[in-house]
Parts: sequence; C-alpha cells; structure tokens
Amino acid sequence: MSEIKQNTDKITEIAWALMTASVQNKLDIPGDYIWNIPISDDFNELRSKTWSVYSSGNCIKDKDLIDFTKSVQLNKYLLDPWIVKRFEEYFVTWFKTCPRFQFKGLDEFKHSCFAQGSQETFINFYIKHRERRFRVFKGEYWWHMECWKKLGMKWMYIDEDDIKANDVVILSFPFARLGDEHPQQKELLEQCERLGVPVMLDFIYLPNTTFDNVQIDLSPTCIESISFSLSKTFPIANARVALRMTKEKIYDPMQIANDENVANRLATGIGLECMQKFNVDYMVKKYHSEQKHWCKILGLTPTKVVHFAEGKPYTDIGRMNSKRFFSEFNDQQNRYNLGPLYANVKLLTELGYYE
Amino acid sequence: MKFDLYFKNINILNKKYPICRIELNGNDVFISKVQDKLTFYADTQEKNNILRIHFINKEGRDTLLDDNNEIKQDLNFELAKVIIDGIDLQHLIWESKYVSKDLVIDSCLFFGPKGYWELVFDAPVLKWFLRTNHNKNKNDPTWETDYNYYEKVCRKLNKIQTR
Repeated sequence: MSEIKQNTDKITEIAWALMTASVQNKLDIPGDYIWNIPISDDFNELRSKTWSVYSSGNCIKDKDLIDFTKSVQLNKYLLDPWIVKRFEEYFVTWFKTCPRFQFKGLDEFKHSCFAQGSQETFINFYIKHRERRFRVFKGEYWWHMECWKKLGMKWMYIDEDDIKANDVVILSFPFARLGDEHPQQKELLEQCERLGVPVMLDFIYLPNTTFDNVQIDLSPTCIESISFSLSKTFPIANARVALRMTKEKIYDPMQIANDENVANRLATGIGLECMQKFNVDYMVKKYHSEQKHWCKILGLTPTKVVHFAEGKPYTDIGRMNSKRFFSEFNDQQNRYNLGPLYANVKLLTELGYYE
Repeated sequence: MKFDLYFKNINILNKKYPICRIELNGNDVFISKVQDKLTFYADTQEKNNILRIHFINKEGRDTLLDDNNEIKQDLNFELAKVIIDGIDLQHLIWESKYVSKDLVIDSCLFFGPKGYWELVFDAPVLKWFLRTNHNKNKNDPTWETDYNYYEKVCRKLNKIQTR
C-alpha cells in the first residue's frame, strides 16, 4: 500500500486562511475559543494563531446544532427540581440507542452523577485518590498533568515506571492523542486488575467514534468510574454537561451537591434537550464522509474519532514545550482537529480548498 | 498608502511651534505644525521609497542659552512611532538617519537642528518589515514563507464577502 503523502503546504495555507478570515469576520461559523480568535489583523498575532488551528479536541461547530441550542428556552429548568435526575437517567438510554456501542458490565455502574464537565469528575477523582500516584499515558488529556503539577500531586507517565499498588490510573477511550484505542489499553487494564489499582475511563470522545462495532468491557473490578461528556459531541462545551457513573456511590463534593439538588439545572436542561433532539452518532453520520474527504485532500489519516485525523505536525512550533498551547503537557501535534474545516466548508469551497 | 507619524516631547518656544514638511520620493506630500499625530496618504513605489521629515522652521534664535552656555529653551521634537499601511515599524524606525547640513547622524529620532530625518523602505511594507527585521536580528527564519501564505490568503479573501 502506498504511503499517504501529507499536503503540509495546503494544511498551513488553510490555517492562515481560517485565521485571517476570522479577523475579517468571514468565517461561516466564527471561532468560540479565545486561543484561536485573532483580535487584530497584526501579522504576528495571526501567525501565532495559525499554529493552533487544528490543535484542540473541541467539538464540531455544527450549524444545525448551534441553531438548535439558540432556540432552547432554558429558564424553565431553573424551577424544575427533577431536571438533573431526568438528565442522568436519559443519558444512558440515549447512549444505548446506538447499536454500534456494546458495553459489557455497564449495568454494574448503578450510580450516575451529573458533572459540570469531565473536569469536575476528574477533580473529584483527584480528591478521592489524593494520597495515590496518578498515572497516564503520554498524550493523555494535558489538563490532568497541568493540574497535578500545579497542585504538587504525585504523578508519572505510565512508560516511565511500572504500575504499582498505590497508583491510580486515568485512561481515555478513545485515547486523546490517537483518536483510537491506546495500543496498551488491554495490558494496562489487566495490570490494574491484578494489582487492584483503581481506574477511571474517560469516554469523552466515544460518541464521535466511527467504529462499526465497539465492545467495551467494563467488567474488570478495577474500573471504578467512567466519565462521559457532551462537550466533544455537541457545541455546548461551555455549558459544562457531563456525567460520571460509578459502581459504588462515592460521597465526594460532586455527589453531595447532586444529592442536595443544587447541581446546574441550565446545563442539564440544555444537555437533555440536545440528546432528545440529536442521536448519539449524529456527528458521525453527518461528518464521516467529510472526514474521509478532507483526509484525502490533505494527505492525513482518519482516526476513529470523526473530527480527528492523524499526520505529521505542520509546524514545529507546537512541538516546542514552551510554545505548546496552554500547557507544556499539551502534546497533541500529530492529531488534527478537522472540525474547523467541517464548520467552514462554504468559505473553504469559495477559496478553492475544498474540491 | 496611509502614513501615521507619532511625535513626542514637542517643545515650543515663545508660541512658536515646530513645523515639518514631509517628502516622499522627492515629492512634498504634507506640511504641518508638528503635533502628537500626523496622518497623510501618499503613493509609494516598490523599491527604495525615501521618506523624509524636514524640520523646516528651526532658526538659530530658537535655541536659548543661559549664562553658562547651557540650553535653557529650544524648539525641538522627537519622532515616536511610524505606522505605514497599518504596519507599526516598531524598532525599525531606528534604521534611519538625521541629516543636518553636512552632519549625518544614524539612528536619530531627535529633531534638534534644522535638517531632515530619512528612512528608506520598500513596499509592501509588511514584507520589508519582516525581511529587515530578520536580517538585523536573525530571529525569524520563516518570515518569507509565512508572509507568502498571508499574502496569498489575503488576496483570496478580498473576493469574499463579510459574513
């Protein structure tokens, strides 16, 4: 099989086009994150923003979904004492409607708890296991390492030491940097099971995966909690809508707040409405062919996450520790987020980049 | 092309203001009392544009000395910033000279004696800025590639309507 030749020149030119169009107010869907919105047309500012066009994991800014979220009347949820509960119950039902996902042992995770984004789940996991050493693969979501470093917590990459009994593991599936299962996932889970090391599985990208049939075995006892989020599926990341499921009820700040019924009703309201309106694999159905098409145009390799591709870095800038976006741990330079391309296809067609 | 010139420390003398005449490629383009900011438009050529700011009304009697022959009052001003076509020349304004009779002072932004300040630049100004900056500081090896991307997408985007 011939190797795919990456069109780095075109990738770079599109990055320039998107950032220049952003400052000229010509994007089909404007950016919504400060790190990729140039505030002036200063050359050096535009240039620095071009380095991060593809670097995030953020959701596809799908116009139909954005239009829908604009139409949702949220205020009514403030007075709805049952909305969080309904959200928690509906989430699993919604997920199970997609026949491509087959969970083994999901029923064991009896306790669902709304989380204000996966980050709240993570924070509570950090608190619970604060005396242990946290372990992740290189390329895991950088936020963990940034927090652990800043908080002075014990942590180490998995390839730098054996898993020990006093460790605790966080693993994303699909794995954050690869957009696919980490090649050592099975081995890691076996080790954790043997040693009794608690594991949290982060399923944030799962709804956007293109697997024909994915078997997820949640039966190992080491898997203590699983984390879901709508942030990468629907353009509501800033509403912070996520869910934690555990086998045992964990009485941590997040759960206590939920039990007190002071959780964010606006977030659960918009999350519930999005789920009721859009299927779990809405993005996959809509954009899978776009992923293949863009990968062909740019010489990238599609990953199992519909808005990601894999390729060589198009700039060395992001590989420099000091210039990684947000964090020295943000090591995602081989992963391309194609979302900005999907969202701006009209503009990119007019500019001649999309055939 | 738009030119914005910023001046500071404008010292007047007995209600007399400094006056400058601005010349581009040998043509007078602007004459004015020196103010904090002067804006004018002028056509440029591709290479070797010569921008001169003449200090035209300085006379010997505009410098007052005290008993110790120290200057106690003087008609003068300083150039603070130059923006051409939206590009702030930043430190490159020091790549200039001040000429007063037979005296040529490199990198002088102070308008003391009668004379003129001169800067030579190419158009497009951004390209000249990036090249000159890199030649001087050796800190921007990708400037030309990046500029070419920028220039290419700007040309394409000019045909696209604002959303």
